[in-house]
Amino acid sequence: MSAPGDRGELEPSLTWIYGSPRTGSTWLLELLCHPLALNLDPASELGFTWPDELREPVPALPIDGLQISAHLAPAVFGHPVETDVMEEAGNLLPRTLNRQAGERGTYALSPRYADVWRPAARELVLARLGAVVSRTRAAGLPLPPEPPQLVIKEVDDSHAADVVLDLFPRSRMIFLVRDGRDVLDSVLDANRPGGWLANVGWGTGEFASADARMDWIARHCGNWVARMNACSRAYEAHDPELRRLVRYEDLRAETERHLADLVAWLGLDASPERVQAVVEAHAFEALPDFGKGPGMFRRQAKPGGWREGLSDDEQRLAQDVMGALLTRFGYDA
Amino acid sequence: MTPEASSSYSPTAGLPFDDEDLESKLVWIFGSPRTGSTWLLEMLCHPLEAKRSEPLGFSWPPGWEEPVPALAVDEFLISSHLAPHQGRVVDILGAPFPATLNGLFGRRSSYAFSNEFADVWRPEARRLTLVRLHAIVERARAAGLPVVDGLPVLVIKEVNGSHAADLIMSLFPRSKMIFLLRDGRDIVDSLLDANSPDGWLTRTGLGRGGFESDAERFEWVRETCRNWTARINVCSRAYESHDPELRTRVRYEDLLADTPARLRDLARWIGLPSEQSRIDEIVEAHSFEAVPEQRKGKGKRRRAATPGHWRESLTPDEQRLAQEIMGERLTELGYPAGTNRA
Repeated sequence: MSAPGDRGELEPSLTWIYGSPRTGSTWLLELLCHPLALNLDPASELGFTWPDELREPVPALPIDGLQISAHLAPAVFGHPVETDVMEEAGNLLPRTLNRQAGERGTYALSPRYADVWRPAARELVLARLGAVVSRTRAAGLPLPPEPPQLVIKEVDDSHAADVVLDLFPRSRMIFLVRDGRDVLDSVLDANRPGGWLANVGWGTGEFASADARMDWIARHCGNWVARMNACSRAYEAHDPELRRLVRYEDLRAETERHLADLVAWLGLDASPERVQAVVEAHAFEALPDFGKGPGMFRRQAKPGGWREGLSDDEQRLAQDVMGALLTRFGYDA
Repeated sequence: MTPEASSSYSPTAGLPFDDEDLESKLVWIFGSPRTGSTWLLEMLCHPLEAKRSEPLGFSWPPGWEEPVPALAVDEFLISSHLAPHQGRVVDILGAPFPATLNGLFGRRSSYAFSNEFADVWRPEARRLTLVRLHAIVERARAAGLPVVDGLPVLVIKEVNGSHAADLIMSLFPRSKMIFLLRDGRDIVDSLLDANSPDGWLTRTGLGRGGFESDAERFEWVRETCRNWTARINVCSRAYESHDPELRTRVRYEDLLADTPARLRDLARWIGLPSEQSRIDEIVEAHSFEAVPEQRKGKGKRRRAATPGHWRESLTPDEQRLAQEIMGERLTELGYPAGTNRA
């Protein structure tokens, strides 16, 4: 029997997409994992399906929400990590159990025992991802002999980007950034009665009062800052050759150029014909009208929508909380 | 060997210990916080004192030379990593249960801990837990603690991870489970005190710091009652699925009323020394009365050790609410129903 430690060579095949939800991350995942002609299907055995007639080897597989980040850095009990933040050395960061527990020796993932739990945590993640590859191969999807790229959309758990990237220094990181005000506008739309988040029972629904809405917005903005700080920390600590910062607005404006750059960086086929075909297949405009629009998961793909979606007071509040980071990422304050 | 899954791969190959042997030495304390779990932990792991500031999480008397049969793991919190809590309670077939990431996304194949890939992640999660726990034994020895030959017992206080008791116990079927119970109304009372403006939980930054209105307090009591019921439901599920020889239920009130007898029973069951003289010495050293005055009382972790205090502190409406939410479980667990001042 072979022991753990044999799976390290999978690590360079991993690409993590972090940043924030509502940044076009599903779109990017599909762009990168084409030409699978993939159908992201959470209920299927592998999380995606493909047409029977597919014959050419598939170089990249999508993992739409591994959520291992939420396991490696969960919330403190009773304090949802998506709404709770704490300060560390003057930085607003997500309040994770790891951060809260600090150096405490009895805590399972204590820094004092990092030499013990880190290798085991790596093995868990690599074993789990390795199983995706082996099962995909067993299911008949043609894959190249070497491990395919595994593109992991992990934006919903970006609060833990620093923990995960630190465990996998030979993997790649895509830091997907979007104007935080547009993220806020999109999340508000998803949460409203009839919005896609409200429809699955996770949204706020109608706010009880204008004050309640403002409080919620303040918390959301603080959380966006905390997540982006965690991602920035991960990004800055990662090998410059293995990281890319992608602005949604740039990707939207010049999709072919930015996609070509990304797929070349990943070692995938970046021929202009291929890139053009992929972009056309996944264009927002190519979606049927019934599959997009207000309240839907795919809404409007329109940078700057916050100017109409947020009231003046809400814009000021967002600016107060997010302004410094927005400027740092090149957005007009 | 490819990096992909292989039939020749074993997550327990190459471990510097026998995984099944170590598993059989684990004793998990689940139930609820504010049940005297630290007190029980320290009694079972005498002469160790749980101290989170220490590198090992415990200290021992200087010059101690007797072999130590049990090590204390105070708030391991692996449960929160293996089943992240989502900060709310969900109703399943009419009964409240803690919302966990696993419960919400278990059917999504892409999810790391999905049902579809349970055969992959479960052995790895077990391995991670075991190697981490074994490191405590190694480091305790290296630090000079005279640990018994072979593997000692590891008592893991995991009451704050009770939301995942079912998952943990299913991963470690050879381990023991102590289901530590206390009247849920006393737990609400204790947590109210901890969340007061001067309460210990507030001082850690995690408490509420009091309530702005009676209505806000009432809603908090409702949520706390639902949380308690949800945790007890999960622990009951874990308890009922576990080997009857390897599980025991302990009521805080019984432990308090006759500590020597209950502690002796537990020590025997676990396989720890249980001579009467040793038990008496432990009970005396850890009695509430032996705790210095400045370390106990209102707003402190060690508060009153008085069963039934809820009758004084909860309002009649709060008592009725608690009865409504927790009543069925309380009755099942042998606590008298009803209210005091209603």
